[in-house]
Amino acid sequence: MPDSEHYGMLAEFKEPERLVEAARRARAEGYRDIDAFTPFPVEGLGEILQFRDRRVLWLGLIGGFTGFFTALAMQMFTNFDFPINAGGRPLYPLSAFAVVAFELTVLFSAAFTAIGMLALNGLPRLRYPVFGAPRFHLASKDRFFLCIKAGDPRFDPSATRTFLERLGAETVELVPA
Amino acid sequence: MRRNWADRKGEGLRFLAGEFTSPTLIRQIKQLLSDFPAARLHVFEPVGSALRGEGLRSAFGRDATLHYRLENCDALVSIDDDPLGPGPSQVLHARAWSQRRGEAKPGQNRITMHLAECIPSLTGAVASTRVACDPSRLAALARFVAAQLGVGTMSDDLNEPERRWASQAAAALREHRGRSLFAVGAHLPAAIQTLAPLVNHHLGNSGSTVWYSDPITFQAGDGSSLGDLVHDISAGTVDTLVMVDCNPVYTAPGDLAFANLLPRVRERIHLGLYRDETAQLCHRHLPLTHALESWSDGRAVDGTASIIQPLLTPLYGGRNVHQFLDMLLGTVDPPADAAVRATWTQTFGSDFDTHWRQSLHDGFVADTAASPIDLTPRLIDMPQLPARSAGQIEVTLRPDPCVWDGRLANVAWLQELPKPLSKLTWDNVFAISPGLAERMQLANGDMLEVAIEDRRVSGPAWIVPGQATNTVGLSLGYGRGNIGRVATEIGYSAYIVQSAAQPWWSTGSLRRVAGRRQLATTQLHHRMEGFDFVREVSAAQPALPQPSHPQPDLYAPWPYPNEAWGMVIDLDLCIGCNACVTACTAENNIAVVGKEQVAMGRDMQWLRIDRYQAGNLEDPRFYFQPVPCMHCEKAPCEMGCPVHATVHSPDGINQMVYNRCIGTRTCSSYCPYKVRRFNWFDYRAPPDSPTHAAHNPDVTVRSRGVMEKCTYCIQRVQRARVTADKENRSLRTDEVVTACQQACPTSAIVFGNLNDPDSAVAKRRRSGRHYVLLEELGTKPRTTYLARWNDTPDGKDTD
Amino acid sequence: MSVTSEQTRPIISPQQTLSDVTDQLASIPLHFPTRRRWLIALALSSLLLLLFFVAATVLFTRGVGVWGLDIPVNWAFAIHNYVWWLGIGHAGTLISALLLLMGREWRNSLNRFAETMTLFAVVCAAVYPVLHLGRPWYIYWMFPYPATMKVWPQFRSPLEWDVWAVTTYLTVSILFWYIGLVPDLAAARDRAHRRGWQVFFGVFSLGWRGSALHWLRWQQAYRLLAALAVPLVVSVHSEVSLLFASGQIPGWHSTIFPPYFVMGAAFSGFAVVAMIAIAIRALFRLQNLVTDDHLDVLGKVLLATGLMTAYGYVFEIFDALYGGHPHEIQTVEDRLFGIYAWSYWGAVFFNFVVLQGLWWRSVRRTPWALFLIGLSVAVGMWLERYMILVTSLYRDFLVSSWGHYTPSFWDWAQYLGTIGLFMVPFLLVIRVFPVISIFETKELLEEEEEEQAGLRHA
Repeated sequence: MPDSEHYGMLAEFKEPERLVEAARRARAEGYRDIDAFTPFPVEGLGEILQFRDRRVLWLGLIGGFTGFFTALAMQMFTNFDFPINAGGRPLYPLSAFAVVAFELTVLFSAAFTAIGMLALNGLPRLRYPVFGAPRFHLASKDRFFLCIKAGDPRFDPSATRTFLERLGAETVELVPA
Repeated sequence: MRRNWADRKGEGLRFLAGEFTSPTLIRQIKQLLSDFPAARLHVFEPVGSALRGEGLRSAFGRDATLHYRLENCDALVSIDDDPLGPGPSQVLHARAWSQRRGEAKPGQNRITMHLAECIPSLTGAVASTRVACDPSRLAALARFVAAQLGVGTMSDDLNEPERRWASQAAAALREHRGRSLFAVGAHLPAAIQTLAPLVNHHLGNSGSTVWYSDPITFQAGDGSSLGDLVHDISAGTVDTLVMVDCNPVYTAPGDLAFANLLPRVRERIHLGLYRDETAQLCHRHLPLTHALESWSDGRAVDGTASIIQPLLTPLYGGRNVHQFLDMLLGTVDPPADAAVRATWTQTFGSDFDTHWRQSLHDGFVADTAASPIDLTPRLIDMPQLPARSAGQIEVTLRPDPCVWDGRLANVAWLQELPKPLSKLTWDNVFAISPGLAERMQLANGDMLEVAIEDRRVSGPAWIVPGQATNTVGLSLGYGRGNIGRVATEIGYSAYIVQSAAQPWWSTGSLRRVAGRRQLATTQLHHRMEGFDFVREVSAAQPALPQPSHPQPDLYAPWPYPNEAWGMVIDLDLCIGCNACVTACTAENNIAVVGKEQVAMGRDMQWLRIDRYQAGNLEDPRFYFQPVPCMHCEKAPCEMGCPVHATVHSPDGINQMVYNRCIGTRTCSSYCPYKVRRFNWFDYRAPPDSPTHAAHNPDVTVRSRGVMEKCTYCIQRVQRARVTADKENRSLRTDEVVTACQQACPTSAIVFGNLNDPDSAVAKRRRSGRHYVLLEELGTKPRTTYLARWNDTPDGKDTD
Repeated sequence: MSVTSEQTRPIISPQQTLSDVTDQLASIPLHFPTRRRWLIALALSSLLLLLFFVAATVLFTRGVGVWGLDIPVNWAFAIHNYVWWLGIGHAGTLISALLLLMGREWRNSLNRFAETMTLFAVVCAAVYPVLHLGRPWYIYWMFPYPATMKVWPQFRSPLEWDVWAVTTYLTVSILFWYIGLVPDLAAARDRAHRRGWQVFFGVFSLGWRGSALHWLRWQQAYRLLAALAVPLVVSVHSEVSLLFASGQIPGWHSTIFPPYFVMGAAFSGFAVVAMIAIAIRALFRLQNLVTDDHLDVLGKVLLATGLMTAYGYVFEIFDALYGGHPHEIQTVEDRLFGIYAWSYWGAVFFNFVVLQGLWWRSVRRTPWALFLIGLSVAVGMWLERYMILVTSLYRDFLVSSWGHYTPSFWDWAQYLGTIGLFMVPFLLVIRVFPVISIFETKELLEEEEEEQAGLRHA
């Protein structure tokens, strides 16, 4: 039953393998709206939780193309707008334009990637429900958290709590929204 | 004062002036001398024609002036005479000489020159044969040559190189009799100089390559030398001395000790441009206006009279010399042009206004050239020159090619102008031969001291390849006193050791003293190191090898449908005289940066004349190569500039856009010819400086941080375009003349439209001698060269 | 290192726990050790930074003439120091990005301060194109904007390429550094007790909470940035070499320049990284995280890139002799025997002769020896850049324009000032931010524990 008063049930694990196992079992149990909080990226967690989001990479590609064509357009336009004989070289030397084109490809790609990643992650966001959990600060240190969100249809404060405790969590907490 | 003089009829009144030709001044002086019969005029010119005049007087028994006609000359043999070198006749001689060079190949209508000299000169640099010998040998050489031609008796033994040279020279003179010229330097002892008119007369050259006229400068008669004046001052018979535009305290030969004697004169009056060394010892200094601010007149070296009119009202007040003399003659505050008008009223007669306007317009008075007179020389006995004793060296004194006798020492342009053969600036040196340097273990800049009798002067050493072994060359014109911001404390004064009896050559001693002087030269390296910057052709191979196929190019050629400006410099005509460099400096507001900056390599001249030496140190060949901007069609500099500050115009000029330049200096890094100059500091004159009045208003004055270089005088191109536009026509052939082209006396530099097949540049380009500097780089320069003819008898090559 | 040895010899000791690592590293900003030595270093660096500003002020008020430049050597210290700094910066990116892509986990202890070094080295490099201009207040003309003069920048010029390359490199380095830093800032935020630090790290960590989904996107971004950064490094330093190689000047106009410069950049950068690693490790007692194995590997990389740079030296001479172009041969002679031969032989000695010590394992693993070799390489590469600039310019084609160059007092002052410009922010950053990547170290630790566990079970 979705619960609007709370954010979710937070389970703390000591080892990343436990977290991975817990996540698999939670999926098997039918929960869908799950998130995990770890101090470093844990291998395999993404597949189990069915996180498939490649938009960052697409943004990188789009950024690259944008940068490339922007660079070419800029260089071509400036020579079209005011054509000047500089060294008897051709007005539109692609070999010369290639350098700036490459640089802007990289620049735009990097910028789209980085900013895109932050935007897709919703960051910066300084206030978030889990920060209220007393032990959550360990998520950046050495503890691995699994959170079953209250918005999940199968969420039930007591059943979910029991389920998580049976998975071997160190602590289980209900996080208010 | 006049009353005083009138009372005594001019007793004790003396005038001292440099040599002058001005008809007005002559008239005024004659008037003064007739007003005050006991007064006397003395003439002293530091670098004048006194010795030449004495030589001619000995030869002909009367006063005369010597003139050359180099355009008629097939063979010139010179004993230390430098007709192409600095002096009043340089332009005339160079122009005439150039008609027998360039397109005139060896063996076909070309002048060959054979020089014997002590110190390398400009004429020597372009001569076919050259021998370097100490001054004491010159007499023997001259006599040998003369004797070979049947004049006089043979001299004592010559050494092998001297004999070889002298035989070749004599043969050349003989072969071209009637069209040859035997020249003896005007600074040599008068007795040796008499040989020249004798030989020339004997060969039938008189009237053809050499002619004589009545004296052009005013002859003051006996008892008018500086020595006579000094004698009278010592004797106490000089009461008042009026010095007209001369500076004897500085320029008098050291052994006269003029500075010590002058205070004995009771009343000392000085008329001059500067409050110079002489003025500082005088009671009264009357400031003269500059020649460009004065009404005056004068005569050119060929006698043609010219009326001088001022270009502007005097900047600092003062009066011209004629106004002062008119005041001495009794007129109160005469107008500036009154005296000159009065002089020419006599000549122009009734139609004064027409003639006056015409002469002012033309710049000269028509039909006033001197007429040749027929003279026959007589042989005199030649005294032997004293031989040099062991351990002594021979000292020659010469005027400086830039500041002459010192009168121009306060002109910053000339201080910064690199001297043609040494490329030194802001200093004079003791020129020594490589042999002497090796013997005494000397390097450039080591301080030396020369002593002649009991007079001494010290200065820095400078090694000159090709200089006579035991000769030390001193330059006049430096070591001035406190006379101006520029000239103070630069160099040494050679006048100190000069002797009045033998002003241009002495024996003396040389020793090393402690210290080194940093010398600022604009060219550090002098050998071509096996490269072919200056190319030569010879009679055997009169055309340069042309490439069999056009140079490959990555880029399509850029079309130039209208004008295509180009410049061709004929290296066979260039004598390295620096006229082009000076003209460029004047035309383009080029800054003077001072000795320290030049020593660092920051001189600002857009046009430089590279001077190379090839061969061995004792007997090198010299080459001059003026290098302006090449205006490359495929310019590396334009490609390198990130902000379009240097770009190419549709007519082929590599433009420098000062107000766009941010000073990255990429252009200069990429330039293979290194023709660009950078404003490292703000080299402009302060806002209240009169220098701004000297600037060309058509040319931007550059500020700090901006690159600059030769622009093919784009302001002149533009002015020609505007004029053509206003007159509704296109540009005429050869209508645009760059400043360097305009000033070059030999027409070595030619500029014009390459797309016009009738233009001078297009014609030169079709010559077999045409080549491109650093052609292999593919920059496609618009400034190109014509190779020099190698007309040495044994076809000696570059190294 | 073979796969087997990676498995059997952990890079950092697995005896440490994640908690230990976090505590050790995150505490450095919060409870700063060696405060006094750091303050002394900061004070000295600040003096140098002050010298930088004084030199720049003199330069801007009086003009470029205060430097020792002339015609023909109109580029010397400013440009060669620019290349030197930029080259140093590249190694940080290579350690971070290239080694990440190659899966070399030992970079995890080094990459944070290496990237930081990159940032400030690039800043030091980037000030020079502004300083050396004759009219620096117009530098914005190198950017395309609709101007009253209606002129645009000239894109065929290598200097114009430089503007874009350095801007890109600086931006991408900042992004890469910052994106990699965010999770550690979160760790520091969570460890901070004082309100000030909490706010500071809170803001700069952007509210990072370590969500698995966020990590997924983060990893994609990080790897993509790394994949971009490696060719970027190659392109930027190749482009920098084109500043010279595009001109026809003998000694510059050679196709060996782009790889030669890139190798040289990596070489000099790794040397400085080695120096910094050893200094920080000693200062903060991080021997457990920057182990002798790390030093060993750094030494090997240094040796490898050094030999690759030596290849460039050899082939420069070979190309000139083989091509037979007389001006090129003249330049080779000038470099080896001319008045600036000290810069050439100095470069050879400091770069390659001293380097040979790294063949010995014991030398690589001795901190002070590696530090000195790194310092020697930094000096040698400085001499090499000087040699490339000055020996090519002072004598090029026409003999009449042969000149000379002597650096002036302000040349040196400006250069030493940039060392202050580097050191001051660097010292401040290691004061404030975690100096080694915490989460990546933990990642490494975790993997090693797994491997150990796997081995035990096998």
